[in-house]
Amino acid sequence: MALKRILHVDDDEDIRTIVQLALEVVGEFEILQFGNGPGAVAGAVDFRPDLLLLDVMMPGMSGPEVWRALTALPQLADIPAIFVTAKAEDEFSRDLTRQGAMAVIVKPFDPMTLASQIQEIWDRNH
Amino acid sequence: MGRLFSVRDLAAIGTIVMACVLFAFNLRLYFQTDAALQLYLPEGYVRTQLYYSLSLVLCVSSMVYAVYSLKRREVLAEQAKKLNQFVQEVDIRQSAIDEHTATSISDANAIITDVNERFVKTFGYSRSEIVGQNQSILYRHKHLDETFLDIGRTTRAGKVWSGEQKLVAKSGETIHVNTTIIPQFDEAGNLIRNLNVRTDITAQRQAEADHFMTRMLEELQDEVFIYDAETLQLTYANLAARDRCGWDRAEVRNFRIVDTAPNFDEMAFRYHVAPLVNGRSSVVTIEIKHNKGPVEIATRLLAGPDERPIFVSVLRDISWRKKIQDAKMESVAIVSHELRSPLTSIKGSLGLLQSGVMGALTPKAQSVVEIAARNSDRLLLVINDILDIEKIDAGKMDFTMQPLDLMRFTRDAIAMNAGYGTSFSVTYELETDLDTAMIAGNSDRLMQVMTNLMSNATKYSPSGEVVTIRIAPQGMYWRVSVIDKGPGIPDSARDTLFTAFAQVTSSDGIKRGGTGLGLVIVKSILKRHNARVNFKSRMGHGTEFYFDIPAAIDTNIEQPVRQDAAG
Repeated sequence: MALKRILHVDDDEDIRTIVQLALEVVGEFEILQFGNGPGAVAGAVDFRPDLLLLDVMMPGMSGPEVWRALTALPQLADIPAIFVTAKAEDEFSRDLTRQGAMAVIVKPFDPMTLASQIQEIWDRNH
Repeated sequence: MGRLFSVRDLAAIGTIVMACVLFAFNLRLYFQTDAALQLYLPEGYVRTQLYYSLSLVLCVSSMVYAVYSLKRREVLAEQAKKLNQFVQEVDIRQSAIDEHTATSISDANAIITDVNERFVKTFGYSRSEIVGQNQSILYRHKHLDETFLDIGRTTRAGKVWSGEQKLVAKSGETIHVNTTIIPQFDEAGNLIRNLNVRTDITAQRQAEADHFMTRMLEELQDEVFIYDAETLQLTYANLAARDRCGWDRAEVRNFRIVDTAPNFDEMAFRYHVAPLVNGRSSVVTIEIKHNKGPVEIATRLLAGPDERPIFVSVLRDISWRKKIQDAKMESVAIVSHELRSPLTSIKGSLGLLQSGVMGALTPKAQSVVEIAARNSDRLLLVINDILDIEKIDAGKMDFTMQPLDLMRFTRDAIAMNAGYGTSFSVTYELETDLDTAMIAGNSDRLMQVMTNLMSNATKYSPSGEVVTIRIAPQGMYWRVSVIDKGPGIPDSARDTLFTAFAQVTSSDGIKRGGTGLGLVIVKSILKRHNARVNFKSRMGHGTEFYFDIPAAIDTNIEQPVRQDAAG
């Protein structure tokens, strides 16, 4: 299965801009972005994403909470997630992986390689 | 004299006198020319009376003399006996003094002229060594101005000096003594000598000190256990330790150190203290979760009173320290997160600009963007290093130890850093005679060490030079050296080089990049491996950074060392 559509949620507008450029311009993915969890939950089904790219620490709903909310929807029950976090502790990353995350990307990431990095993770898991 | 002329003596003397008077009377009669008188006395009567009285005088005199002689002999015998007893008593007292006190005699100039046997034993000098020496030989210099001079003043003034002194034996050992110094003078009043009588109270002072130390141990809030290094049988547990374990003082010896915690793993403990037993460390520490919270246990190996090896373990409650560490770690993590998020935007934007995705930049704009990108990279390195230091300090960094072949590991390190070397036109070369060099270590953490040391060596190497990585045995350790041919490090930097943000001003005046935290991380990581890091440098010739890491005891055992174990 080819990776085409990525749903990105991050409360930081600047990072959303960087990620959009990195995935749409450098990579050739179709991307839909939200600044918070409830917005993403409301708009995700229509977009039919292949992958979730979620910031971990967000006000209101955290990244893992957004993921749980989305996978509770029948249409997105099996949707995989890659988390992006500024928390660099090994234990934190291991926890997310144990919870079922496909991968954890640590900020700051390189926008020029982000698309290929995500594609590589996707290929490794499919 | 009164005892010689008792009533009996006087009676005897009186009898002799009376016999003499009688004899004189008869003698007078004998030579009496008065014819008339002689007519009234029978012939020969006077002569007979004369002889009789003379015999009586002689007889009584002889008897008295005999009685007196006997009496005199008894008195002399009695006096001789008493004198003998007195001499014996003096001998006993002298022996007692010699046994108990170190006695010496010194002249008016404080020169020792005689010493007794106890003095020889106490101070360790032979008689020939000490006689002729000045008393000052027994004093440490610091006492010369006080006690020694005071004694001189006191005795010259004709007074006895008494007091406690700290003197020094030939071996240098301090001898505590109670001293009495008695001066002696000639008829003209000049000081001729001092009698120095000293009682050795060193053992008493030591016992007092020991008693004090034991009391201190008892009162410590930390738990203290003393136990046999082989059998692990306890010989002592202080009050805090006994309270936690619920033991009486008398029953401590019935337990082993493994009885001090419910899940005490004896095998893991023996592995933990192995560096003490084989002499690699003087102390080992470990942090564990105890029934009363997190504790740090520091263990040392000492020689017991009977020379048997003993372990002394001190358990310290570190719950407060842990709370502070956790709070600090949390703060650093938050700051790190708050810095990383904007840094993501900055680096991302600069990366997109540099790549040309956003359109071509003018050369000037390109160079400015490069400066910004380079410094945002530097800022990220600082953040990462600070976070690493805090993680190590807080015990949050993974230090799972596994058997590791240093040879293979070093080849990997060289391959991994080759790209960095190329950017400085520096190559890496492995120099060793070994095929394998096994250790117990964490490869990720040790790779951090090697990357730090190799990047330092690379930055300071002249372009086109080789950085040598050497591995060689060093006693019970493997020595890993990273050697550059750079400008060298001044010796003045030795004390600060392994402290945070310490950067040496290079002798060539060129400032190299770096966070100033790399060597702090190197030291912290190596400490967790019971390894020591140091360097040798010659100005203008280069620097060798090296660490000595313990060779593996048994490479077949994948012995996990607790994450929170400290070396």
